[in-house]
Order: sequence, then structure tokens, then C-alpha cells
Amino acid sequence: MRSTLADAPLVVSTDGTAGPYITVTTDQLGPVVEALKAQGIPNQVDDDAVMIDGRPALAVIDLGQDADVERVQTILDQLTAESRGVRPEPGLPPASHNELILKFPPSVAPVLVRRIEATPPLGWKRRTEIEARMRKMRATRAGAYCFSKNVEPTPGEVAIWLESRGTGEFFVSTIIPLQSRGPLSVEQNNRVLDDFEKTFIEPLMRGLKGHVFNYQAPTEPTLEDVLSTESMRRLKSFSAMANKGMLHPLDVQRWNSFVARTHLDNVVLDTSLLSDWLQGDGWPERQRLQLVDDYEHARSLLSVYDEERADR
Amino acid sequence: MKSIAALVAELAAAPRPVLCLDTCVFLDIITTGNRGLTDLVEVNRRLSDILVTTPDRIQLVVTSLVLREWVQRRDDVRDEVTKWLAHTDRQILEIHRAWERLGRPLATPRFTYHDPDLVNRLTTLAESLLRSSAVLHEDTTCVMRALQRVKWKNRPSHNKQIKDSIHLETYLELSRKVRDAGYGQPVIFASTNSSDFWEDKNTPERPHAELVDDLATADVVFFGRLPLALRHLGLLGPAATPFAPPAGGP
Repeated sequence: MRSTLADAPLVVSTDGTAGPYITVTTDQLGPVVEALKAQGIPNQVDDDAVMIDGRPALAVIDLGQDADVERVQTILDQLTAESRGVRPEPGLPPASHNELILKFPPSVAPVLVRRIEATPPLGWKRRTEIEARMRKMRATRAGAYCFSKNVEPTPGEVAIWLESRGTGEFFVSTIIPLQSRGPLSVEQNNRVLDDFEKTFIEPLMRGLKGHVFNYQAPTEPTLEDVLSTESMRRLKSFSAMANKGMLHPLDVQRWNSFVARTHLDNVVLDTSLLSDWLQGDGWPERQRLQLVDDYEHARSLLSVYDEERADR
Repeated sequence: MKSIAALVAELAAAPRPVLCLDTCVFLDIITTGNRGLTDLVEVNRRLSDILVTTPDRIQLVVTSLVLREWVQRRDDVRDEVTKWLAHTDRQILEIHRAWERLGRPLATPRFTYHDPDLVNRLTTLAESLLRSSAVLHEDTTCVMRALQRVKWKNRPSHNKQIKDSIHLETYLELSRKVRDAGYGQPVIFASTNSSDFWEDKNTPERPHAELVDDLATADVVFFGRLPLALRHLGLLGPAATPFAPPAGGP
């Protein structure tokens, strides 16, 4: 199955032996459960199947062995159509690396580990010498496996690390090209991951209870990720109160207080993030460019001031 | 440990990009959490994964002084993170207590984050990168040049500290020597020490103006953040554009 964190398609998956299931984002969970309930479809929700930054990101709705897959898919298609009717069609999501996670009950783990350590599927090679190097360099315990495969025509031979996380999870931690000096493109990375899912993970999970998540990873950090809570509060306060056409002296004071805070926090801020945030908050282009320019000058001046003080 | 000449011979035999690192790059791995820079953990893990899987892809280089500083300062930064985790636990406890005193205890259990495993694993990650690095002996000529910087208060010794100048002079000398041997691979120096090496504290892609000529003459590219250096080398997403001094000099 495939899921993206934004606007994921709603699909009934039938892989594994746990019965049909639907993977949904946290935003989709409520409406989908409601729609199933309205049609009398029994279901069981695992609402924190995949966690990102300590919060549930993807949930699984198990439908049970006897579920009518076609009927449920029709309900999901209808829900998708209704949802598109009330909001604009989303544009193409930004290109981003996919992630692959296997979740399974702890009772399945011993069988899964035996299968992983047995002869790999055709085309794949277990790289025990690289695993040994990892144990030596990083004091890694058991549960980190390295496999390689020649993926033609590009990117050639690649190594994939499959690592355990807790008692009920494996995840692909890294994909590294073995021949090419450059990095994998997003497209190549996702193609290798899809191939790994199809030719390695699917046979591995055959007949076992569990779910496979192949989803789009969150993209670049937002301004909220980079700034401290206090800096963000000051920026929001400035933006909410400011005259966006022409700054009032009090607006300038609030802006300066924001800049000073980021400097005290020692934040390294990519100013395109600041510009995007200001644009999203309704700042006209001329003022926005001026503010970004002011920010850069102010940080530069504050750095010189720090040095002058340190010299005393 | 090896001499500059020995490393030059190794690189000439098996050319690969060279990434020279400052002590703070390793110490930062431990303190990323309490300084709001957790993305650096992933970047360093990625670099370690690359070095484990394809050891000839890139050559990390440190001075012997980096190793000494690491040993001297490692426990202090570990303590800093341990205290931060303990403080976080105390704050969480107070939040739960406040709700309980209100007569509305929180339904969620009180997690505790004061777990030495996090600090240990971050330390292991930093040490894996140090173990992958070629360590350069102290070079007398480079130390003398560093002393000159202290004497004349030249950056990065404008505050009379010699250590950063020893790192810099060693890496400049390494680059000059490999270039003399016709080496075409990039030589990068990465230091997160914004006070001594950066143009200002918000521009990690630019070395300080006083260092631009020295770096350019030795054909060393500077970055103030490890992710920028790795992007420049094509090891991490789209490449960063290094700072290029204006044509014609200052």
C-alpha cells in the first residue's frame, strides 16, 4: 500500500494475513470511520500505527477477514469525490523521499527475523561484511541488516539498510548507491524503495500478520521547526498587529524584538522560510522583501556588536 | 595518527573528497536536542551510514587537537544534555501536578525522558565519525603559523585562542600539499564555530571576510554547517553553493 501524509488516496489493502485494511492520515481518520459506521461496516482502529515526531501520523483501520472489499472501496471513492467537491483539487505534492515501515505483532518477530536471515530473494545479496563494519563502528546490536541489489539501468548497485525499532517494527533507514559517487535522486530513491517492497518485503511478509507502510516523508522544515517558541510568538504578534502597508513605529519595535530574540537564540534562519511565512500571513511583496533584507542586516550588525563586546 | 605527507600519499592513491572537521561538529551531535537542532542527528547518522557502507566515498580529516578537545569537552556536553533531560522531566511532572491539584488529572501517563541511552547513542554516533577520520599529527610548521595568527590577532585567533588556528593552518597545509600533487577532488573545511569562522551568525555558507583569501589561495571551501558541506559534495540532497570571493580580490 502507499500513503502520503497529504491527500493520500483511500485504498483498501489486502496484503498480509490480517485481513483487508485501510491506511489513513490523522485528518482522514474521523471522516472515514464515520462513513464506515454509517454504512454499518465493522472496523477496528489502530490510531498511532506510524508516529512522526512523537505524534500519530498514519492510522490503520482493520476491516476484518469477512469484509466486502469492493463495497468498502466504493464508500471510500465516494468519500474522496465528496471531499474534492468541497475543497480545491490539490496541486502536485512536492517531490519527497518515501519511507518504508513494516509493523507486525511481536509474536511474528521471530519468524520474520528467521526469514530475513535466510537466503534473500532473487537479485538481493546480504552484505554481512558491511553489517560487521556497522557493528564495529557504531556498536549496533543485532537487528540491522544490509542488502544490496543491482537496479538497472540506474542507479546501479545500491545498499539498503533494514533495521528493527522496538519489538514490532522494521524500517528502511538508508539507501546508499554503491557505485555512483552522487546521491540518489528522489525518483531513484523511491523507485529502489518500491522495488524493495515488491521483490523483498512482499515475499518476506507473505502469510504473516502485519502491515507495510510506504509513505511520503515530511518535506523541508517549516519556520515553526526552526524558531524557538518565543521567537515565533514575537513574529506572530508583530505580524498580527502590524500595518502591512506601512509600518508604524510600534510595529518596528515589535519586529526588532523578534530579530533580537532570534539572535539571542543563535538561530540560523534560511530567510526564504521567513519570506514564505510572511507571504502566507498576507504581507505584500515589497514589504516582505524589505523585512527579509532588514532581518539580514540586523543579524549582521548584531554579530559585529557581539564581537565588539567580546573584545572589551 | 599520520603526517600530512602520509595522508597526501594515501589520497593521491585513492582520490576522494576531503572533509576537514572542527571539534564543535562532533560536540554538536550530542547537544543538538537541547539546542533545537535535532535535524543534525539525521545528517550525521546519514554521513556515518555512508562511511560504513562505502568507506572510500569521502575522507574525513581531523587534527590530533580535535581528538584531545573531544576528550576534554565530551563529558561537559554530555552533562549539559543530561541536565536538560532531567529539567524536562521536572517540568512535565509539574504540569501533571498542576492538573491533579485542579482536580482534573491528565489521562495521559507521565513519560520520563531522563534516559542515559539517548546521550550514550549520540556519543557513539559522534565517535563513529571520529573513528572514520584520518587523524593528523601536530605539524610544527602549522603550529608556528597558528602562533603568528595569535601574535597578530588574526582570525580565528583574534581573541588570542590558538586552537582554531592550529586546525585551520593544518587543513590549509593539507590542501596546499594535495593540490601540489595534482589532486582534483574538493577539500572542504566545516566548522560550526560561528564566532571565529563565520561572516556573521546567520550566514553559515560564508567564511569571515578575513579568512576568504587564505581559504581561496589554498583551494579550501568553507561551510559553517555540516549539511551544507554534505550537499556541496552531493551526499545529501541538492547541492549548496559555496561562497565565492569576488573576482579581483578585496
